[in-house]
Amino acid sequence: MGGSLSKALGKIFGNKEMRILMLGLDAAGKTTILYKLKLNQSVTTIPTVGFNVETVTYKNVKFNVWDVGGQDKIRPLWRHYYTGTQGLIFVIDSGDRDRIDEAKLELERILSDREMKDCLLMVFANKQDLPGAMSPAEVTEKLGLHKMRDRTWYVHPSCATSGDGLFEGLSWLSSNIKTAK
Amino acid sequence: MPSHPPETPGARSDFTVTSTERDPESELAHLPAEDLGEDQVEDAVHFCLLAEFDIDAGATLAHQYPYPTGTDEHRLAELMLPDGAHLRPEDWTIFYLGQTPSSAVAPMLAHEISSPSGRPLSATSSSIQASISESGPSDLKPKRGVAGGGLLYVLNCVRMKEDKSVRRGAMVKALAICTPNPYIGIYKPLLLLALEEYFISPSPEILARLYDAANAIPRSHMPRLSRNERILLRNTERRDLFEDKFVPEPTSGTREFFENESEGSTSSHRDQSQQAAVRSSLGSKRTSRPALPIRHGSASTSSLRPISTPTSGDGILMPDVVDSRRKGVPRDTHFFETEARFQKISVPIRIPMAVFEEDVGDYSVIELVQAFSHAHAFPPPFHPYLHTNGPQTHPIILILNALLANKRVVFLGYGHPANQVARMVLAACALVSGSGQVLRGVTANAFPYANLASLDVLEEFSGYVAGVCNPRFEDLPGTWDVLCNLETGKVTVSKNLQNGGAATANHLMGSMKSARSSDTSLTGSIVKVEDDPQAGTPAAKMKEHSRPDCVDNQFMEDIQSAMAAHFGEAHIRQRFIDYISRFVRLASYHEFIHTGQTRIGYRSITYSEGQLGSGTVFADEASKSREMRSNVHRIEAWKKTRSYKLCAKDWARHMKTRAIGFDVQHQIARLRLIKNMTDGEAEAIFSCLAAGIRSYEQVVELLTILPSHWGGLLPIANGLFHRWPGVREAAIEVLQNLQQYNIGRQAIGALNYFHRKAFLQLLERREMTSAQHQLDRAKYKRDASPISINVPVDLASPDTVQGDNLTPQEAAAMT
Repeated sequence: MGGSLSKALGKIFGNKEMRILMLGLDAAGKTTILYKLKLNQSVTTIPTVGFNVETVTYKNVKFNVWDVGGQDKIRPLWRHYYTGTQGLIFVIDSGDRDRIDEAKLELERILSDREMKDCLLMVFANKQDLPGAMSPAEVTEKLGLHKMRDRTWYVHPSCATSGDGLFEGLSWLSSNIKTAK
Repeated sequence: MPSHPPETPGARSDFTVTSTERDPESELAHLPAEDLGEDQVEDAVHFCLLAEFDIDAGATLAHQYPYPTGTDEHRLAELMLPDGAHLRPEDWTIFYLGQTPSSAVAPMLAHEISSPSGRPLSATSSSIQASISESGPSDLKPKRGVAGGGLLYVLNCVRMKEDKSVRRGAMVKALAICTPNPYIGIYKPLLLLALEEYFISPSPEILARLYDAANAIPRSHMPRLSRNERILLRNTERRDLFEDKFVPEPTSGTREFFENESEGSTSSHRDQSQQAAVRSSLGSKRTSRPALPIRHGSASTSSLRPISTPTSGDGILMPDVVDSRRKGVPRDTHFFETEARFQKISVPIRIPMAVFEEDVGDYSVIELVQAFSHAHAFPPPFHPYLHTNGPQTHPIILILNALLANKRVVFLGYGHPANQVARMVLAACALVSGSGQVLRGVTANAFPYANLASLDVLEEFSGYVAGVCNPRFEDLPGTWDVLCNLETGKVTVSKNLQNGGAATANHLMGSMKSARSSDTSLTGSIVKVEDDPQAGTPAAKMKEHSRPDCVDNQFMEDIQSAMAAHFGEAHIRQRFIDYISRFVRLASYHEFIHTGQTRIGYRSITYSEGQLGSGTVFADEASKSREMRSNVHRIEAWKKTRSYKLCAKDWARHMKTRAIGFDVQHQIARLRLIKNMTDGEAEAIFSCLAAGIRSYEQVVELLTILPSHWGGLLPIANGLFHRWPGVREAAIEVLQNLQQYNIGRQAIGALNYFHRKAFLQLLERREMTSAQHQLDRAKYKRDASPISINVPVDLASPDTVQGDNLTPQEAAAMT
């Protein structure tokens, strides 16, 4: 009952809730992004065992962001988070050219899941502060996003430690959620 | 740091393939170790495991000792590194091995050798041969940790240490032991020490040391208490119950002890050299079985050696006995005090004595009740077997009902340490199993800590109770029927839960009606099936109105006021044990009423004309209908579960092993509850008690149903004031029989002054009159044959109880 009431109010005042799943290879900067968004602080993170989840409110949209550990052996667990996800934030370590192909494979695997077929894709080309980091265009190309026809996607440069680009990403997600609905 | 190479994955998959199908019958056949006398033979710890969160690979099982369990390594690692392990410096998880073939120890690798052909490579030493022949028939039983062979309980300590010098700034490592002993808590200090050591120098040798230290904890002096003795110990707050059992008798006990000792010394040398060899080769040869020859006896005595320095068998006789005796007498007989040695540190260990097979780990029922006591009205739809009091069902009762019905119950503690959800699960298991004392089967379906990696295993179960920290479970309604949220204290019933209960309820009501006519004829005037106004109506409607007089709500109010009055954990547990025992009795009554027989208790018959009654006792018709109303649906749900089958099996076994040959609980309950008992029944009951309870086992069994929180011996002591002399005489005799044993004397001593005084006075008076009798008899005896004197004393039939009242002529006539 409480849930439906707040949903009704949400419609009147334009409040939206959005379930976001944030994935990416290990050490891409997912947890740093999460806590920068949540606390607006750059926190020193250690590898996530399992997951972190936080609610971030931005421009009247409540983002329920799940950040799941990205190491090789625990990636099979990602699938348990798919159902109900409206937006996927895929985080790329733009400095890590060696593993961009691995990232591409993982991204394809995620998006091929039936549960993820309607979900928005937002890619953060993270760690733009690193010298020699791949540009968003380069990331787009290496991930082969241009071939992706039936999905709304967006690549945005970001630097998690300074916070540059993060809210623009959320902004894009919130403005596109309607069309996704 | 470098991650260790995966442990021969090829070999592992071979083993999992060979794992057996889950066989429910063999599971049913598995009896609690307590009754098989098994754990004297068995090693205390079967495996040590080490997992670490590899910053590149993720959760990884780094080492297993003494050899791989054969269980899926990644799943083990996930269970050992719980969600959120990176957020807190220390946490604990508990999980079990052997619940399904997929979570079982590979049978080839189960701890004991299953058959000579299954013997692994290095098993040529004669001690192994000896151990095979020793364990003899037990080889045929399935092994612990193998599906159907009983569970291995895993206690796991996980620690996160921040360290700026390592990449990404922190290390997360976890160390676990797998043991068949339900009192896993005793290994906590050892795990902490060993894990600390492993952080300093990460080497598989630490696991070997932990394994040896845990298996060397001396337990040979630990008294073995029978089931009933354990119940008594659990019921009492006295710290000296069974104290005599803690002291090894110098005359008979020592001999055995020293035979053991000398055996131990020879085999322990071999063990040590073997282990040393294996430790060095651990990296390469994982399949070798180093510690196998350590049987329990030798392991424990060899570890005693550093304490008692002399090495020759004869030399240590006196000092060691004195030493062990001084050590043996505990401050509190609820615990056996011993110690473990890890490296050079000795750690005091207290092994709880009153633990049952399925009473796993440290938990607090009080904690559970506190967490879920905010009464909130449950929204419809209602399931009669869950919402036993409609929307006003107490959350704890709902959890209990769900477990009885073997539904899927999940405890979610987001942001809580994993050990908290594990404690909740263990406490919930304790509620429904009567702390392991009443019902079995719930532990086999319990997952004190689980996570998303466990979903595959959970799916194999139709019902379970699991603890999780991941709120994702809330969004996966396919994983639970009842969700208990630790954060909010809210208990939610899944909307997807099939209303199977309604159909069964209607079906049940039909059968109730049809059974009604036969009931009356079956049990005569005694049983009248209550006309339940709610019974016939559809389930959805039937529970719209909660009843204020619901027995469960009254029970929970009692519990909460007991907690408010600062009654301890032991007391609260006891109340739930009583509650669940009562449930079983009600189920037995229900079964008897509807089918004319019962597999889980005595037939419900009331006293008539000298024939003692048996079965479930109700104070009056009103309370009967109230109790049955709250229970009938969940009884039906429970009867479909494995727990019921095990209960029937336990009952059959009880009937074979019981010490008292009649339903003594019925008699005591009658004495306690019935207001206007006929003098005839009182006499029948008391004379039966006087005649039927003489041996130590019988006395102990009687005392288990006369716990101090129910007034102890009061129902019997009240017989001292009965208006019939025969009843008074019999009551004296019961108390006299009790007095022969320490345990009985303690119980009598706990009576109030008034009752004790009455007992003494009656005893004195009787002695005077019997002295008079003796005198008369002696006079008479001059003419009669001497044989007739002894006859009435030893006979245990009720007729002879009044032997003292017999005239000398009658006594003579009897012969």
